[in-house]
Order: sequence, then C-alpha cells, then structure tokens
Amino acid sequence: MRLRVAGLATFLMLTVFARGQALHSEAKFDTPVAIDHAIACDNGSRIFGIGKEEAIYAWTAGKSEPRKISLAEGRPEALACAGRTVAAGFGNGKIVIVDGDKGEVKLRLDAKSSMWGLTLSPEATFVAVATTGSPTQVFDTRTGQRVSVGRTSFGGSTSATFSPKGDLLLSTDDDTNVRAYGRNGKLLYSAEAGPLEPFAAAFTGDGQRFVVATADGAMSSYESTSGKRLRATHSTGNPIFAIQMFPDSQHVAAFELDPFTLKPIAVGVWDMQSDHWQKLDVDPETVIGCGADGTHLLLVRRTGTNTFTLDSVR
Amino acid sequence: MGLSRRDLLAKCVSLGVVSLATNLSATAAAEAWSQSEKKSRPSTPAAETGPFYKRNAPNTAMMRASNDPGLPLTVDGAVYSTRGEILPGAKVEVWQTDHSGHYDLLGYRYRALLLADAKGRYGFSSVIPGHYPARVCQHIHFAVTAEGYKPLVTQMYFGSDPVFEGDPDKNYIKDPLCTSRELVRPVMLKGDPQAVIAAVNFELVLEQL
Repeated sequence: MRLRVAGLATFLMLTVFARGQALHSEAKFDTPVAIDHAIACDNGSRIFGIGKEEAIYAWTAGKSEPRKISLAEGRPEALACAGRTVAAGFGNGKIVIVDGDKGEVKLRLDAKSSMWGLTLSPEATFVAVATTGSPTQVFDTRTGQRVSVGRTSFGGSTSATFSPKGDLLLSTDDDTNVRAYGRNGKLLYSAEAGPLEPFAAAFTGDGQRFVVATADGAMSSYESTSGKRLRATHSTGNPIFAIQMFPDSQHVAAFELDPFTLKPIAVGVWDMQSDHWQKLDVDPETVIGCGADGTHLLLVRRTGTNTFTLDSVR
Repeated sequence: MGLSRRDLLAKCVSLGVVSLATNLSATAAAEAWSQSEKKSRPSTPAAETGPFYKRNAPNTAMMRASNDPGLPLTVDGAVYSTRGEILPGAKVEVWQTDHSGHYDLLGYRYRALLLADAKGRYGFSSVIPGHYPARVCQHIHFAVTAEGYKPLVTQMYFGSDPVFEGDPDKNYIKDPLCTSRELVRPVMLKGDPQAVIAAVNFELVLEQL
C-alpha cells in the first residue's frame, strides 16, 4: 500500500462544472481491502475508512501505510473524528473511542440503541450519539459517563453536530425538529426542520449559522443563537442524508439519495447567498466520504476496488 | 339505556340478589369489579421511526383512492394502556408506501392522523404497501401518542408477506427491523370474489409515563 500525495504540478482536473469549480485530485491511496465509507479529518491530513472486512483503517499524512484498527464489534455504522481521536459507532449501540495515531482503544461505551450517527466535540472530550431508540445522548470520553440525554416528542434522533467551538450541540430528530443544547445539556431551543424528518446538520465556520437537510430534499439555514430560520430551498423529493459545509461558509454540499432505492444519486451544492442550486458533476456512487480543509471541500472518492482519492473542490 | 355497573350492583343489593360484605360499599365493589375485568396487556413492541415520517398528515380514515392499484386493506384496532384501559382521543399517525413501494415525500398520499374514538378504536382504509429495495418486508409505520403515556413508535407487518413464506414464526427475523413476532399480524381476506379486501387488526398498547 502506498500513499501517493500528488504535487501541485500533477493535480488532475477531473471535471469542470458550473461557476468554474472543479475537482482536483490531492492524493491517491491504495488500500488493503475495499473501503466503503471514509471521513477526512484535520484538513485532510488524516483519513479514517471502514474496510469491507469491518476493520478501521487510518491514513496519516507523511506515512505510506495505513494503520489497521480492529475493534471486534462488527462493522461500524458511523465514524467521527477530532484530531487524532476517532469514534466508531455500531448497530448494537456500542461506541469505541480510539487513538487513531496509535490504533489504541481508549474507551468503550454503550448507547443501547441502534446507531444513526455520532460526532465528537472539537477537543474530543465529548461524543454525541444519535440513535433510533433514544434522543441524542452525550458521553464524556474521559470518564465514560453519560452526561446528558436530549428530548423528542417521539422517536430518536438522526444526527448530532457540535458547533466549531463546542458550545452548541444540534440534534436532528425523528419528530421533524432540530434541537440545540448548551454545554450543560440544557435545551436552548427547538426549531421545525421541515415537514419530514431532518437527517443532517452543519455549522458555518464561525458557528453563527447552521444548515439542516431533510428527508424530502430541502435545506434550511438558521441563526445559531436563536434557531430563527433564515433561508430555505425547495424540496427536491430526494432525501439528503449528509451535508458538508464549504470553508467559505456560503456553500453547502448535499449528498442525495434515491427515495426508492436509498442509493446515492447526486451531490448538490447550495449557495446560501444566491439560493443557486447546482449538481456536482461527479458519480455519487463513488463518493465514500467528505471533509474540508481551510479553503476547500474535500471528497473521498473510490476509484477502484482497492484505490481511492482525496479530491478538493476548487 | 343499560344500568351502570354501580347502579346495577346497588339495585341487586337492594333486591337482595347480591350481598356485600360489611367492609365493602356498592361503589367500591363496582370499581373493584371493573378493575378485575380489565385485562393487563403487554405494551406493543417498539420499532424505529424512520424513514419518512411527515407531520401534519390529514385526518382521514380513507387513504386509498378509488383507482389505486394494490390489494385494498383495512386496518383497525384500539388503543389501550398496559393496564387495559382504553385511551379515547389517542393520536395515531400512520404512514406507508403505495402498492409499488414508493413513499410520497412531497404530498400526503398514504399518510393519516387518526384520533381514537370514545371506545379507543381507530381504523383506516389503504392498500397493502409495496416492497422497496432498502427494506425486506411490507410494513406500515405507526406513531401513537396519548397524554400521560410514553409515545409508541412501531411498525406493523403482514403475515401474508411473501418474505415470510407462510411461516412468520420462523421467518419474521428476515427483516432486521422487525423487532418482534407480535408485529406480524394475521391477514383476513374478505369481501366478494370481485372485490377482495385484506383486513388486519392491530391493537396498540401504551406504557404509562
């Protein structure tokens, strides 16, 4: 396995799309097994992927070999990272906190319900877990204690997202609301996300606003301090299961599913200032993860059974 | 109009056909009698909410349009507490795919909000939902709420689903989201040969807060 970081001169312009943006290949990776989900962390200097045989693989900039991390809990359903810390969530509700650089398990937790998603606070001191059977739960990653549980009118939560400073936690919930909690777990406000359930949320870089995407393919932006809705797109009818804020805090990438097959069908970009909506000219089935560096959206794209690339959107 | 249990008991006592021990009043005896007839019920097994719950569904018991494809279906039942009390006014929200497995995300087809009547009963007309690639079994989603009770989110399955191969006892686990055999309901086919309707009964039992 070799990590091949492309030099500036060898950037490959893959596709040109509207408004002059393009995908540039930043790095290419060979993998020991097929990777079917990945996240790019620390401005793309770390990539964590879930291998087909259920282990986690960690790539670190400057090292050619990925570190294999076997957790003996089955296949992770969700990954999150903050710096060198990675959290893996499993279908049985188990959560494993790992030092990604050393490959050492730091803590094992139990959310006791099937996992939708999880997120680490910026300092990796807390992990928030969205599960099917419970509102979002927050655990202290130093002690293993569950420090708070959110609330819903019914059902569980679909995603959890910390603000860049870690002072606000958003929970998108089955009952179609997005709820914001403070550091102490206190509910600050609840806002309607749309007629259908929200699946994902993302903050702007300064934490002043956030965006929520819903099961009917709509996105709305909100003011973080109040939960006041600022703008909204029309529903596309295609569920948006994940979003990623661009570093400019003006554009949001939306990962859309076919509502029948629930397979990826498009990666869209919403310009929150102009309300312009466009589709990235990329095969959505090849996109296995995303992230951002200081200036660009990053996509992790599968290019072969045992290869993937890290691409920036420029 | 029939007598209430208390009035009946009082009448029977006055006529001498029922006698009460000295420590029992007619009111207390009537209440104890009623309580003993209430059947304790296990709570309906919960299942995950998603996908595609939509709030503000219409209050209609007829989700099927006249020309909709698919086997017509009626679902009825009652909403109870685990102590066997009926829960009039309980909100029963249901959503499902159409016959071909598609949820209506932009509108409200095959979605309804029902209120349990004075006897705790609810019911609706629909079609047997279709299969879709991401789910193994045909199912209808339920979200049930009543003041003072834990919200119940669950899914109902059909014993007639081909996935079960006629043996839901053995095969209900083929759908990993089917959390209990109890959620797979028997299907009765009724009506005349030109207009067969599937009928399913599904009791909903809520736990107290």
